[in-house]
Amino acid sequence: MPQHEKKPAIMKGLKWGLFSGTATYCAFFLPVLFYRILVIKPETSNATMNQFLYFGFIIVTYWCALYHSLYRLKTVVFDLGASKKIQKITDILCDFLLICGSIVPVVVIVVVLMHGMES
Amino acid sequence: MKYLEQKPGASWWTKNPRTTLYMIRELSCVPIAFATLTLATVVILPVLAYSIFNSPPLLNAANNFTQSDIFKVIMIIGLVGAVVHTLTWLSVMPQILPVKLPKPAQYIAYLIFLGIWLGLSFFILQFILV
Repeated sequence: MPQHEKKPAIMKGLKWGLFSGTATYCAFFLPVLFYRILVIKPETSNATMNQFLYFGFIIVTYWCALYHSLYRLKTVVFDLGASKKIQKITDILCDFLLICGSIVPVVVIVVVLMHGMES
Repeated sequence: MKYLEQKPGASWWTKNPRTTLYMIRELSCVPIAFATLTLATVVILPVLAYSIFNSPPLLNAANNFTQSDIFKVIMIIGLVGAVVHTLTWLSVMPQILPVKLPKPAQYIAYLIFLGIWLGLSFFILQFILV
């Protein structure tokens, strides 16, 4: 294989594609979630029309915001011209936060499916 | 050839207003990440703990924290970061469409995207996050 023909970075492409998708999702849905939490107190909330939809919306928006903001944090460190070592540390820290932050919604979904919304 | 490489310094983005604005937009991810992680810690985790252990103290503590000013400030910072991100994203969208639009059409497309965003937000507030 000639030197200029490199293998396509599939994982990198997938990660970037996910970043781009979560950017669009967050652009449309994140501000309204923060607004809702800020303006309307939980105890004043009425019974929801569809609790699964409500809960699903919060979980999906939360995960998209987490993934998108942590990925962008990595790109900011790169854009600022940080050293390779600092970039690596940021990568590890962001990946760690993403894994921890992703376990939570998965467990929540499993628990909700097992116990139902009433619990 | 390595000695010919020129690396921009860490402050390269301060020399041009456009790049400064770009970096401010990029840095708005920090308050979003912070607010999102707070949301997980204060809202999602206690609900999870309550569901598993059926123990209300953690849920009560989380409820008390969501009434505090600190939580409100964190959410306001998150909201400002998210709105900045959204407005800048929507302004870029007409420029990256597969079809090249003239400037006036780009402004119209921006207004349409803004309308869609506001309409969706209203719908979510009215019917999903009731």
